[in-house]
Amino acid sequence: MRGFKLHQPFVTAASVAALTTIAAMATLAPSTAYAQRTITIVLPEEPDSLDNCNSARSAVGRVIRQNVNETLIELDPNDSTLKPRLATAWKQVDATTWRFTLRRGIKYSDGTPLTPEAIASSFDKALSPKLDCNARTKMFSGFPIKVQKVDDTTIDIITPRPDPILPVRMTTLTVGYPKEPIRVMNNSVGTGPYMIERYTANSEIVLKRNPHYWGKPPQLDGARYVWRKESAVAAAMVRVGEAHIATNITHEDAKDAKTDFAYPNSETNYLRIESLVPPFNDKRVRLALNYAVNRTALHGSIIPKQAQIATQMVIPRIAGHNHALNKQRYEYSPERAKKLLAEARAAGVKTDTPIELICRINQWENTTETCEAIMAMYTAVGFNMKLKMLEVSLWNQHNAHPNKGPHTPGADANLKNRGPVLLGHMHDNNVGDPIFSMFPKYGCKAQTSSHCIPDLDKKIEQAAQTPNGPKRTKLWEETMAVVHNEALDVFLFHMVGFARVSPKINFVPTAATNSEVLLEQVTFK
Amino acid sequence: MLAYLTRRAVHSVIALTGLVIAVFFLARLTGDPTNLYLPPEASREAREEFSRKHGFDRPATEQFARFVGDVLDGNLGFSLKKQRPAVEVVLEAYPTTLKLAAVTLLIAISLAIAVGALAAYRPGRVFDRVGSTGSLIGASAPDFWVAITAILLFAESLRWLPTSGTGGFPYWVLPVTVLALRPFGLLVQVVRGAMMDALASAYVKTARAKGVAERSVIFVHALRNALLAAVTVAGDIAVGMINGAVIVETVFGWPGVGKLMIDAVEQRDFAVIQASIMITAAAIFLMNILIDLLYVALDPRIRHQ
Repeated sequence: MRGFKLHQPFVTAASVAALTTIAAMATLAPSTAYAQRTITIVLPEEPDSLDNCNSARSAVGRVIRQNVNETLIELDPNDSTLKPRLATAWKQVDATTWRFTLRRGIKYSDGTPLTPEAIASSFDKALSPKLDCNARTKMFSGFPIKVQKVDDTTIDIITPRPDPILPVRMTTLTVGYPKEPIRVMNNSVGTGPYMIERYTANSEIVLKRNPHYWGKPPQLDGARYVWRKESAVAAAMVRVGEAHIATNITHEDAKDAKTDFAYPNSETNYLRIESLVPPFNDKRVRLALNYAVNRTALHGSIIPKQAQIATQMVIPRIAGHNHALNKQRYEYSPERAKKLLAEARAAGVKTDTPIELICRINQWENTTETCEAIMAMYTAVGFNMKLKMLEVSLWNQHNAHPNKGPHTPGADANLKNRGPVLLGHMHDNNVGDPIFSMFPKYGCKAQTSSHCIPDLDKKIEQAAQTPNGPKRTKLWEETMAVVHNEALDVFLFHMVGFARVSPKINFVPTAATNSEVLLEQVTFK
Repeated sequence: MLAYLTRRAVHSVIALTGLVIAVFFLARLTGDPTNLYLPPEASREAREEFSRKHGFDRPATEQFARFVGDVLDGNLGFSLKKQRPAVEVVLEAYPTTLKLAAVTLLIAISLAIAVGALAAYRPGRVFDRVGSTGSLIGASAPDFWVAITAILLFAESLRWLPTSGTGGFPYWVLPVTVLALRPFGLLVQVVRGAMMDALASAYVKTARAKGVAERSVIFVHALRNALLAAVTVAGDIAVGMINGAVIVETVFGWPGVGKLMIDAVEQRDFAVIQASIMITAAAIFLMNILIDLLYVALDPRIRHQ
C-alpha cells in the first residue's frame, strides 16, 4: 500500500480555517467583566424597546419598571395594596380629579429635577395616540387623562369620567424623561435606583446605579440582562453560575427545591363560553361543561401541582375574590353532566350541535395536552366537539368581538355565521382590581365579552363606580358569585410561574416577577 | 466575465422580484398584526386606529404598490416590533450569521475533505468504517437534540464550556460543533464517493503508471476532480447557513438572521420579513457567483466553455 504525507493544500486550507476562526472569534468579543455585586438575569425574550411608554409590556417591564422608571404609586404584589413611590399621598378631590403629592427632591439620573411639568410631558408622550405604546393601549385606551400642576410638589390628574380607582391605574404608568420626541426609544431615562448603562441590540442590556436616586441605595451595583428562549438553557445558566436569576423556566426544568421557585403569576386559565349562542345559552349545557372537566386529574400531571384549581376569574389575593366559591366548585361528575345534557335535550335544546374547542398553541405550559384531555372528557359525556389548536394571530380572531348572535353590532363578518366556540383562554390580572377582569370579560359592551346578563352588567358598573373599600370588595364578590352560579365560563387553574434563583443571592419571586424584577430587593448572601 | 455577471444579476433580480411578491402577499395571508400588537382588551377604535396608521386597512394591492414605491426610494420599511428601520434590524443580525457560517463551513469542509479522502484511499479499513459511520450519524442527528444534549453534558455536567452566548473561543465550540455536524457528515459521504470514483479512473492509473508521486496523484489528480462534487454540496449548505442557523441561534442565544426571521414571522413584522428576504437573496446571489468562480478555478474546462 502506498503512503503519503500531508500536502501543501491541506496545510493552507487548515491555516485559512484557523485564521478565519480566530478573526471571527475576535470580533465577537467576550462580555465585559462585571463588578462583584452585579447580577445576570436571563429573560425569556428580548425587550422590543427600552422606552418607559412600553413598561406595561412584561418583556420591557422586567428590565426598566421601578428599576429605571418609577410609577407614582406602587402595587404590593403580595396583598394588592397601594404603596407610595414617587407620590407620597393621593386623594380624590372631585368625581373626575385626583390630587397627588409628589416626593420632594427627586432627580432623574442625569440630575434633572422631577417637576409637575416633567410628569405632564412624560405622560403626554406615553399616552400619545401617535404611538402604539402599551401604557395607552392596555390601560388608558379611550381614557385620556390630563396632568395639571397645583404647585411644585402637587399635581391634579383629571379623568374624562369618574374613576374611583385611578390610583390603581397609575401603578401601571411609569414616569419618563420630559420633552422626549414622540417616538419609541431605547434609552429611557428615569428616577429609579438604576440607569441604563448600555443596550446592545440582540445581545445584552446593562444597568448601573443611578447616582441621584432618592431612596436608600440598593446593594447591587448593577445588573446584566440576557435572553434565552429555551428554558433548559436558561436554567442551566443559573446552575453553572453564568446567571443569577432565570425568570421563566418550565415546570419540567424546575426540579431543584433549593433553587427553583414556583410563584403565583396572576394568570387564570379557563374555557370561555359564548353564553348567548345556542346551545350555550342553556344553563344546563353550561353546567354540563363545568361538571365534565376532571380538573383534579389535570392538576399535578400536565398542570403544575403548585397551581390552584380556579372557581373565578381573579386570583385569591385580589380584593373581590369570592373565597366562599372555592368550597362550591363544580367537582368532576360525568354522570351529572350526562344527566344535565339529557334534560336539556328533552327540553328541545340541540345538544348535538357541533362545537369547536379552540385553544392557542403554547398559551400556557402543556396547552395542547390540556385541551386534548378536556376534549376527550367532553366527548365522553356526549358533546359533539372538535378541537382546533391555533397560532396566536388566528386565535385572536375568535377572541376579539365574539359572536353574540346575528344581531350583535360589531361582530366580525367572518365570525357571524360560525357555530358555538369554546375558547381556551388565559387571563392575567396583575393590576390588582377586579374591574380589569370583570368588565372586559362580562360587560355587555366589552369588546372581548361573550356574555350579557343585564343584572350582572349593572352590578359590574356599580362596583366599578364604588370607591376602594369593603363595599367595593363585597360588590365584586357578588359579581363573582353570579358568574359562578350561572356557570358562565369553565374555570380551570390559577397558574404559577417558575424561576431559578442562584443560591448566592436573596431573591424571592412574587406575583409581580412576570412583569417586573425589582433589583433593589435583590441582595448577595 | 462582465457579460456573465450581468446575465446572472438579471436572472437574480427576476427571481428576487418573484420571491418578494410571493412573500409580501403570503405574509399578509397569515393574519392581521393588529391582534398581536394590541392587548386583547384594546377597544375597536384603538384597533382601527392601529390598522389605519400602518396601512393594514388598505387592500393588499395598494399596500404592495406603496411598498414598491418605498423600495425604489431605498426604504425597506419600519419594524413594528423594534420600532426602527427594518434594514437596520436585519443588518445588525447579519454579521453574527455570516461569522458563524464562515467558521462552521471552513471547519466542516476541511475536516470532511481530509476524512473523506482518507476513507476513500483505504476503503473498507477501520478508518473508513469509523469515518463513514460517524459521518452518517452526523448527517442524521437532529440539531435541536444535539444542541440541548451538548449543553447539558459539556456545560452543565462537566462544566468545560459555557452554556450559551457569544464571546471568546469557548463560546464558539458548542455552536460550531453542533452546526458543523450535518455539513461534515454530508460532505464526508460526497468526498468519499467522488474520491473512490476518481482513484479508480483511467487518468489516476495513467498518472501512477507514469510514476507520479502518490501524494500528487491524490491531491492534484484525484482530489481536485473529486472536489467539484463537494463544492456543489457545500454551496447548497452555505446557502442554507446564510439563511440563518435557526436552531443553533435560538438555543445558544446567537443573535443571527435565522432567529430574527423566525421571530419576525411569528410577530407578523412584515417589514423585517421583507428586508431579511431581500438582503439574504442578495447574499445568496454573491455566494452563487463565488461558487461559480470556484468551479472555474477547480476545472479549467468550465473556464473554456
